Amino acid sequence: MDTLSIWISLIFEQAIFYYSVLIMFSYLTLVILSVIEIRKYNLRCWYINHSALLNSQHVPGISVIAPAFNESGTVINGVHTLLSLNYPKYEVIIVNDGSTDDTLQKLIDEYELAESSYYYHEEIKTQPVKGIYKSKNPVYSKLIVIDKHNGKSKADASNAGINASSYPLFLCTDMDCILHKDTLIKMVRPFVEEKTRVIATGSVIRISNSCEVENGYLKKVKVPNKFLPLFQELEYIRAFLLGRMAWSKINGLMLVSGGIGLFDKEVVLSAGGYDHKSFGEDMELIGRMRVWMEDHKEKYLVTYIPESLCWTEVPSSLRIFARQRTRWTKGLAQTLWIHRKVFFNPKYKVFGLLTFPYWVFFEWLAPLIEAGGIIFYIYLAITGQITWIYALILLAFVYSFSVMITIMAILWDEVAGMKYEKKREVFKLCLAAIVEPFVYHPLVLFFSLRGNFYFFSNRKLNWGEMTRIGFKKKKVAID
Amino acid sequence: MNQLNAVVNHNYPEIIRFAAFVAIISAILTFCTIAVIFVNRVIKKRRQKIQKMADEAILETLGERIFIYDSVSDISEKELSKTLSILDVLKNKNKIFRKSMIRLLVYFQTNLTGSVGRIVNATYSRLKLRQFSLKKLQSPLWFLKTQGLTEVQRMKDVMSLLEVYKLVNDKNQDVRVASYIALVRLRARDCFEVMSKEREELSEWQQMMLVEGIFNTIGLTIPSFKTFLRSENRSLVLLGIKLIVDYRQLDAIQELLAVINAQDDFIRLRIIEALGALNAEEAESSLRNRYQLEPVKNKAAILISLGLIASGNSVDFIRQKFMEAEDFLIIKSAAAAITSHPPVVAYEVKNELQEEHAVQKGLINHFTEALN
Amino acid sequence: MKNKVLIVDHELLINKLLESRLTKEGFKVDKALDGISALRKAQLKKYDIILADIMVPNIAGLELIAELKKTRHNSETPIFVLTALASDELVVDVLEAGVKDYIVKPFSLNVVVAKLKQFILSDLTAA
Repeated sequence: MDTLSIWISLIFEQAIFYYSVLIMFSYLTLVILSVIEIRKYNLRCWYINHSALLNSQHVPGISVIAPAFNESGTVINGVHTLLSLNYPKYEVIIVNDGSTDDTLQKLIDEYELAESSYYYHEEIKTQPVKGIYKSKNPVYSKLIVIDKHNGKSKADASNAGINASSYPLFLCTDMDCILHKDTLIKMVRPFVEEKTRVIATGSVIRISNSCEVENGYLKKVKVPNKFLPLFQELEYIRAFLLGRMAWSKINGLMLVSGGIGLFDKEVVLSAGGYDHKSFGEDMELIGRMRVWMEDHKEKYLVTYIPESLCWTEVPSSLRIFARQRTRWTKGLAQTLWIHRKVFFNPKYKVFGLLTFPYWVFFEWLAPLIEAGGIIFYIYLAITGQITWIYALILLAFVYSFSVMITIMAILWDEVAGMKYEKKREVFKLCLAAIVEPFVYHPLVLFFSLRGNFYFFSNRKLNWGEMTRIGFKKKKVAID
Repeated sequence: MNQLNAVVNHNYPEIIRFAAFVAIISAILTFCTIAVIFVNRVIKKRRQKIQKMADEAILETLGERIFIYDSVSDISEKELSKTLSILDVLKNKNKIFRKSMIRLLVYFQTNLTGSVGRIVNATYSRLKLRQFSLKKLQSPLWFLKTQGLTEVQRMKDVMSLLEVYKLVNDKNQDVRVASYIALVRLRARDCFEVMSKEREELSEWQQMMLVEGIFNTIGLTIPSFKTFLRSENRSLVLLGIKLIVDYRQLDAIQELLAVINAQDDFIRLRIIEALGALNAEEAESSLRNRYQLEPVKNKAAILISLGLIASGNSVDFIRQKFMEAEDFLIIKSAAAAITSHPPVVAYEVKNELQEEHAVQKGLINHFTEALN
Repeated sequence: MKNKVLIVDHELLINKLLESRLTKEGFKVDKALDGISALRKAQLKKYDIILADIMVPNIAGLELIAELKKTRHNSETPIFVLTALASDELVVDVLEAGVKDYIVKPFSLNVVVAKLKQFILSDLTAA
């Protein structure tokens, strides 16, 4: 008994300590890398003018793909926003994923659609397509509406959009996302600017819950008022501006969120499109594309833009939030499991040796280790073995460090482009950052444990089952 | 206090001391960062306020005293000097005012032609704002150099050509490309020659910027771009192809056919597309002969190009590929090629189709339907 | 009575430039910075001329022209397009959509003013 408890103490006191030091060190590295990258991006943006290209016919064409499932209320405004993006060569593909309301009828009426003999080539297998509609009015000639049977996943709908698309790049988005009008011209930049082949680009997603929106356009950006969205905003800023930006600098980005991502269609098709069985199809796709590129020994980049180009609504009720987080964790575990051969495989270079292990140890495993630590502490407290002053110092150590990282993320966001007009809004965010570890973090921790539990307990049973809910997957690194 | 002493006096284990140290540093950094956020906001707001004031004052003067003239001769020297002295006072107020004035004048110069444009230009040089652009050209920072180049080029400041030439060998490629564009915009006689000496690969983006710059310069003497096709730098070959297509330089067709064998897959694809866009009837037979040698993407491009040329000589060839090919991309391209011929061709082909040709039928319908 | 002009341009400076000049020329000027506010203004009152850049935020391009023509007061109002997009196809499309004239940016301020004045004059004589 004695040796066992000594061992456990050793593990928890020493190993966990070094583990957390390692996590902190990696965060610090990310902070530094990302600020270098943001600065570089800003300079290029300010001093190399992109407006000349708005008239160029040499830009690559883009297909904007947005699945719609029971979006009767938002679909008209949403399509309007997409049709008036600033870009010389693009089409908009709306995939009506077997809606049970009048989404399709609304589109037909508003945009004078008629069924056309558009040829649908099923390059990736999807649920059957019922019909393809185009507008009789030449004003809307960019619009294509696909009506298909429900595939119970965003992946299946997106795949149908990819099948119907006719341009070499496609932008994947959601009907409930509000895109900045310069989204395409800004996102396409890495594709034409980098000399290595770019296979995907992502950008910052922000939260629209409390923003003033008019006819589908963003009028004023505000920090969310409600409890859950407020903390999610913090989480998004941290994940997008610190994490993603830094990873893209070393070409180790593993996740381009479903809300906004521009992809090279050829590579996506070679990799097999979205996996409709996945719980985190956006991350899974990037993983598969990377594996495909590495297996074929082709050089490639996955890039990232530190600009907020997409606003989305996030769950404000605990029930939906819980479901979303549980699913994310499950999707993460599932994706890591599917691509397990990459783990510390030198063949996959940065992806195999750095990104993938990072996700395993610091994203997927962190909540489990944290929970273990807490349980151990409770055990120590009950058995009276705790030195309270040490515990307090350790707590202060973890707490102040994590607040610092979040506050720095807020600063980076200010550097990358002030989104909020009022000082008060930023102050609110800073306050939220200070209380976050105590009020919001435990929730995230709990739901990610639950996701892991689901993953391990009924992995085989539940593999293919998936229900579609109001808030779709826009994933953020969970920390 | 005792406890703090304990930490300092090394009574605690190393780990704990380290943790305490990090905690304190992080807390300090956190407060500093918050301070920076707010100070940064205050400074930026203040700068924006001054900027707004500057913009308004300058705009008002311009609107009252410059934008009202129908022609240069309307404005008397006395009036102009008076306007200039008002603007001069504004310019010398502070750095933000000066920057704002440069920005606004450059902006209006870019957006306005005709006499008002000329008056704006005169104002710019008489206020001696040129020298600030020139100073930027000499800066060690790449982004200031490109900004200076943009200003010089937009103000059509031919006097600064010598300074621009100094940057064509800059070690930063973005600066070099900006200097090529400036040379083009200023209509330097040897601008294309200078550009063709670029050794590093130009990105697609830089090529597009150059094409836009060339295309939007009025009165530029356009050479034949076929010399670009023999360049060792493959990105210059690509640039040459784009320009040949944009300027419809039909005399380059023979040269395109002559160099096609020496190139990689991607450039060959671009040449094939260019031949189609140029309606190069004389290239048809060599396109057909190439077909077997090319990868799938290029095969598809050959079919599309033959469709664009639509001379009628390749109908049988296209139709054969359309019926026999297995690859969807090829069938689709062939269908597109068939339908870009006069409607009767598509009609005939459609009549030939059997039950098993569902894909072909669908595609012909797809391309002949007006809505698509 | 002063002739009323609606200027639609997302670039504030162009907007101000046109406003100051046209006001001097005796027009009454309203401004809009994007498609939606342009439409809202056009729904509220009748203009004699609409001078619009069609590359504006939210509702843009041919769609903007179509929507302007659907408004109750301004279905007959002549639209002058002032924009930087100048591919032949687009100019043709825009003219076919029923606009009065197409002026390419960069533009001559005097030419724009002359065109508007000329139109008002010919309109008066026609009526």
